Amino acid sequence: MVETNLDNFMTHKFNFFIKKCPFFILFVGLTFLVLSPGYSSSLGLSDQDATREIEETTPMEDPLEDLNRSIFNFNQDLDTYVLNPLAEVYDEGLPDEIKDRVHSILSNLSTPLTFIHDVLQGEEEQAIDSLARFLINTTLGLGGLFDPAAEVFDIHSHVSDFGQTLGKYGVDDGAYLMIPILGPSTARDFTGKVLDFIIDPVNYLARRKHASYLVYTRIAATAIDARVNAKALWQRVNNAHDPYLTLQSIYGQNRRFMIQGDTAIGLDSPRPSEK
Amino acid sequence: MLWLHQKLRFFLFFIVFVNQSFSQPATQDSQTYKNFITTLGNNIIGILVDKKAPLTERKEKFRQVLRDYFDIPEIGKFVLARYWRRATDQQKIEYLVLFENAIVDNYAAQFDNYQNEMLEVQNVREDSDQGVLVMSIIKRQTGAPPLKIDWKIFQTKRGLRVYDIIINGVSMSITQRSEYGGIISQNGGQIEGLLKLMREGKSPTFTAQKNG
Repeated sequence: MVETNLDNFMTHKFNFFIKKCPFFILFVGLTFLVLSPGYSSSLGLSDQDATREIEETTPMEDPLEDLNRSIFNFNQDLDTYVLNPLAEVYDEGLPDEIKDRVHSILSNLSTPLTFIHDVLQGEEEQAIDSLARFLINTTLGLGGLFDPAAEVFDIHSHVSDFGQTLGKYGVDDGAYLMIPILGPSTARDFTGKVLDFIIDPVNYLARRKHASYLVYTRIAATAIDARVNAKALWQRVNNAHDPYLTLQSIYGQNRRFMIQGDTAIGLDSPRPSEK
Repeated sequence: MLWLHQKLRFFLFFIVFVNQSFSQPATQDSQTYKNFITTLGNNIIGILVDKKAPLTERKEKFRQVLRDYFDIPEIGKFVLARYWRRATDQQKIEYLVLFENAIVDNYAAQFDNYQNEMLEVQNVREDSDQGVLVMSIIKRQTGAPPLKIDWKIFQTKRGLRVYDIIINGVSMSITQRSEYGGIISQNGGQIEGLLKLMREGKSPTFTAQKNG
């Protein structure tokens, strides 16, 4: 009796192990992939003397490339059949005057969050710019409909976000991630995006006033407005032989630029071989 | 109070002075660099606005600007990175011709996207590798941050030459390098696969005209 019980127990335990084992292996495997920095750099590099290139040919860690690529394909289809047609209708159907107003309003709504990050990043000038832009455009610009801050006072908008703040604090970008619908990101930047969504003062106010629909309207409008404004970028990406690779390179470089304080100094560009 | 003010002024002056002497080349040079990029910008805009001219003529004009202002062979080598050393001489020669064509075709396809944007050259900074960065912006529609365009130039025997264009931190050369590298590694590390694609008038940066 006791024996059978023990036997039962052992079988149960073994079954349990068998059931969980694939998950465990998968988990260990994934952790290994995400954590091992040399994973992507060990591919096909045998030249000893090419040290300078080795650094550059691995612009981003992409341990989840297969998954990322399939999500990218999904996003591309979504763009082809939904987002781009909507953006086209919006772009062709409305006069520039109206599109500019929409863009101004959206830009003004994002200024408080930008201001928070300017402060968190210790960027005094940018923080003052953001504050001034918000005050000027909300009052003189009639609630953000117009952009007198840029047109009259020559204070231009800029963007700051949580991913950038974390980057400036020294957090590495981590693995490259392709997020469904949202597009390219990294472990750090996606975390930042989620946090931004939570702390955004405008979203917070909307939720407090039980007007969550405003949050969603804003997201949809931002997506279409951004798609219209990034036409040239998407054309460049879509025309490429391997759009996934092109987008990854562009995204990585642009984020690095934003974190280094908008400077291309020290970039490993081509140079004359003999002087 | 007054002495504090004066002291502060001196201090500020000192900071400004020191800053400038470190990061900015002599003003005279800096003007030369700025003029160089302004002229280059005007040359390109001249081709862009000339929408009535036949495409082949505009392409040839653009090719001439590329040759006069850029070091295309050096950029081509950089883009090929470590594969350059592995290529045979014949492959190298063919590649450089195809590379120039690829750039011309790539930009020619975008000629008509031009919407009267103007290039505004702002300042000049010395880079750590004896090169110079000329910083410029293109203002966009209301509310959008201006596009930041940095030009990496070097003084060469043949005069000033552009080696890279960096748009909002995205370097034309580095992006192309990852794209070219991608094609070559998809072809088992053989440069021939890349050359085959380029001979068909395609390139890693430009294979098909799709609506985007």
